[in-house]
Amino acid sequence: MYQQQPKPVFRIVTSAGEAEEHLRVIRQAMERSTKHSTLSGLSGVVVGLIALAGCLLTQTVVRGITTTSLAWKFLFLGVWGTVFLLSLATDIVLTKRRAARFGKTAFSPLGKHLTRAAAPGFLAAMTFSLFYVRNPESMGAYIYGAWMLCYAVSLLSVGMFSIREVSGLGWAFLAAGFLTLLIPQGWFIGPRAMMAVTFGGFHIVYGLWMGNKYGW
Amino acid sequence: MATVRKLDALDDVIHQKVRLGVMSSLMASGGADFNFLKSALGVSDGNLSTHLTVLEDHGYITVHKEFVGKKPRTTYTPTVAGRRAFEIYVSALESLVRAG
Repeated sequence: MYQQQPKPVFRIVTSAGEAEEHLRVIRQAMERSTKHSTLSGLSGVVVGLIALAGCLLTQTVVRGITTTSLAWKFLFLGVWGTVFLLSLATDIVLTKRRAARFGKTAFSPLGKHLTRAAAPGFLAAMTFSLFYVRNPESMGAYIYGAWMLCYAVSLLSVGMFSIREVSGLGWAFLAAGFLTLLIPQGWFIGPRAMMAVTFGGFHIVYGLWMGNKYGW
Repeated sequence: MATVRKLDALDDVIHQKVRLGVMSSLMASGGADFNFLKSALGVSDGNLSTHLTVLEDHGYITVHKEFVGKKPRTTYTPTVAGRRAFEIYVSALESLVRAG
């Protein structure tokens, strides 16, 4: 049976001060709901370990093969494509698990905003990767610096809608990308080692921090 | 002045602070359960429950009840009417602040 809903009562607000107070309530409630992070600390640690495994495989298997061969192209894309997909899957599964624990959905409008914010950086990284596989000599190991910068862009975009740690990680990747691309050849740390330090180390430190601060 | 009076008229269903908090929270998160709203807004079970009923009665939110394992879980989502009412409410407040 159709039930008529009660009509809203309208109220007169006389002062701008009262209106400001209500806008403050809105801002605060929205911030609490969005900054109540569902990002998982465990995900950070696992993603870091996956990246370290990728670095190890690149160092031991992929590096020994001539970069112009078809096998190298398959191996390079295979290793780093797997690292990317495994990391993405880990993040989705663990974020969903944590979101469910807090009564939120990972694919809420906010989740969609975050995906949209992260996408351009990832697409740029993918473009660099395809270019690198087609022209390995032109970029050399500096592809890793380009990845760091692309990832930094994604993190800094996501950070605008999320907690400050995400932006912090973004700035760290930006600085690392800058160093990787601009430090002189033969300096004490090369691009491959920087890859392990950043995608491996940074993620693990970030994950441990997030886990301790916001829970696992 | 007719224009000012129109700006000053605010939907009283949303205007109450807890209901305003609930609507703001749901608009930002897209949907949330009772416990999440309780912790985000810092209100008691009874208080929150009363205000959620008012919002539901006015058709501003929908309620979805389910069992997660053996635990019951109630999720709230803003309706199209609720979203629209919230947007109108916020623009009315902003106009009021701008008008000084």
